[in-house]
Amino acid sequence: MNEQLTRIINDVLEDSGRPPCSQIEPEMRLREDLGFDSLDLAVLAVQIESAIGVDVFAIGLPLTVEELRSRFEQKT
Amino acid sequence: VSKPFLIDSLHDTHVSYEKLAYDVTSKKSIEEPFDEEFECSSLYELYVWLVAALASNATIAMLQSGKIRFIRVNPVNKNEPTSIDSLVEACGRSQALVGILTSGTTDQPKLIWHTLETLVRSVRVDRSHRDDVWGLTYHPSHFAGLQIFFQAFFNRNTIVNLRGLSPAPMSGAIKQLQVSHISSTPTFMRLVCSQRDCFPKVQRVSLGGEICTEATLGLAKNTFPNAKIHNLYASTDAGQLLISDGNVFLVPREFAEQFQVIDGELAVHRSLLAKSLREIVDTDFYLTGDLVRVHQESPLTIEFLGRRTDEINVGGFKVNPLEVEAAILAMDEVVDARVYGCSNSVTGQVVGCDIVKKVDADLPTPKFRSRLAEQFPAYKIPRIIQWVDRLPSTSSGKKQRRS
Repeated sequence: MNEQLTRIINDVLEDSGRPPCSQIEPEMRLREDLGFDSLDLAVLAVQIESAIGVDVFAIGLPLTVEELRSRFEQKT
Repeated sequence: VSKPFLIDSLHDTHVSYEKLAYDVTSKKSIEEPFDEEFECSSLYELYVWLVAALASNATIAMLQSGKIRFIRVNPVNKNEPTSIDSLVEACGRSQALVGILTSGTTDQPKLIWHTLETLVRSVRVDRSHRDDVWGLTYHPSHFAGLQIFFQAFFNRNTIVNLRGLSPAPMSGAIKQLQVSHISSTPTFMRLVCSQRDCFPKVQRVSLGGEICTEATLGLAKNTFPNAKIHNLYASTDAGQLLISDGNVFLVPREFAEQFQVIDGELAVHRSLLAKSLREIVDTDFYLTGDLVRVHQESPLTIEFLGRRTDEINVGGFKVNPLEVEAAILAMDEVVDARVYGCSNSVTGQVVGCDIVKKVDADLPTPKFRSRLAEQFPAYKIPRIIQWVDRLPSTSSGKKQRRS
């Protein structure tokens, strides 16, 4: 799993008052498994954009960690 | 000893009214019509050109960073007496057109042309103002800065420049030069008050240009214990309009027919507008862009909530950044805060904020958030938080509203 992305995901979790996820798996779904709501996803989008300069959510919401990771790594 | 017109320690300026009169009438270049921009090297030079333009009924644009553009110049009549009395008198009946840039907290600044009518609407000249000393905190080219100039100039008061000074020398200047009147934005006032100093000799403090929270009013009351503290509502579009001692403004009887609230936004009659706007506005009422809450219909009593363009839209939920800012500013640990929208493709915008903490404050992010959660739904609570040393502000001393 991409370290930078793991850190951003955990920052967003911690930020909304939840414990970090020690084992982020590619097949995990952002909403159902990680518990992201729309606001968390919005924050995730802003944080990723400020880290890599690209809005990876612009082409639509990624559903899984894997989908997010591949978009993230394509752009970094 | 004649009275100083301007004391500006940043430029080593200490000039009398007599010297101003002399310098204005000896401006040779004003005799030749020209249309060009030039940058004034000091606050004093800018005032000399402004007075020269007023005395000669010129058309003059006040641009950014102290630049001036003369559009049309009528030569100063060299045969006229050059005393300060005749100069002040000539300025008082001036037909000059003065272009002022809108402050542009969110939009590109644009030039609005004023005649003396809208520029000096709120200026009061009488003996009770004879010994006032004005602290200038605004950019001299902006509407609020020009208000200070006119109020001081027509009463022959001394202007003390405070703008650009860091807090310690500013405190010194207010005390040593016995500044009696200060007009500033709430943002600037929080900077002055951050020194925890006390200025018992200041008689009047006017706040304007932005919404002033109760917390800021309270700070000003502690810092200026003997001053009357007022809140002003003015705009570059219409000049100074309302005055209040709190956040709720009563529209005075003489304006009763000229104010309306349309869909939560304040509208003023076109007759109150600056000349150039009055000429192009084709409706009777002009929307100011200022959102208000009506406390009473008659006489109209309103509270300002913020600019329409500042509203943050989080997935369809509207957030007024000033409401959130007020809650943050009410926290003891906080010196200043700026709330704004961060664009994203998930919810359109999400609330972000920059916060300046007090030096010794213990306010970790989770504690900060949980306090706001006591009063706000989740979408209003800032999610992008940056702890900073200083907030960005516009050249007019207002908080920068763009993210």
